Amino acid sequence: MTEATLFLFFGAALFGLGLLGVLIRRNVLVVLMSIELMLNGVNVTFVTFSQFRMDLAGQIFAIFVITVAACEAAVGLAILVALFRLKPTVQSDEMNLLKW
Amino acid sequence: MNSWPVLFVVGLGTLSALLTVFHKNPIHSALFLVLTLLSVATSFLLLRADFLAMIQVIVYAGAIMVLIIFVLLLTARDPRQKERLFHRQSPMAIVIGLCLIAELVSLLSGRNSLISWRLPSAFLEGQAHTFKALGKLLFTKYAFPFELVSVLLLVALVAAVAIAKKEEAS
Repeated sequence: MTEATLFLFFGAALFGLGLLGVLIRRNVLVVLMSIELMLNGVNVTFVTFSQFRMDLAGQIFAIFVITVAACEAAVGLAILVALFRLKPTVQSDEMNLLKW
Repeated sequence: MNSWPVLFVVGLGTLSALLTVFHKNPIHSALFLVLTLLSVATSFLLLRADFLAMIQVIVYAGAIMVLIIFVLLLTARDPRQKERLFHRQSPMAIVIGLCLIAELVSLLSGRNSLISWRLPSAFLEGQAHTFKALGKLLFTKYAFPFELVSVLLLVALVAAVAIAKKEEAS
């Protein structure tokens, strides 16, 4: 097994674990952290392909992914703070204000 | 390239990602997430993407993790945080997630996989820094997406302030 495969497996593992976290955890903050894990897995795959194909476009894309991740974290956490002010819980299945 | 540092970093990152997802205490999983992000930065270094490794440390392990831990402490007074970790839907979700993971693994380890790939020898010798090449690309070929992303950052900043602001009784 070469380094490329190892890094690609690392990216796949990060993405899969992040997906599991998004799907099964109740705590919204842990769900947000799992989304960050998924974005990191994608970044690892991008950079691996970029270096092994000797094409810098993958790294440029990874920079944009990091920027979008920062925006997503800021807005997501702001929404969470506003929601916590409305109803003091961080469990995602108790946030059912719009359900009837 | 000697492959035991790669194995070490990949193993550490995967283990801490597991603990991030499955740890009971959200503060601990945030700290394990920091460890995962740092091992991702190290693997960028091993891949000779030095600019991205620094960005990873500064933006992810610095800024985003501070934000997350800040909000964790703000919302910490919910006493039932550690009661039931998983959704009712989790058996179904585990099945679907494992299906996706098996797909990825079979894609990577199948017959037409990338096992024969090696680092191009030009990369092992020269090319110490990617800064110059990345900067040139960002300001010539990718100048328009670069400007667009700066507008996105501004919008996210304003939105975060507007959403999290306390509402005045009008």
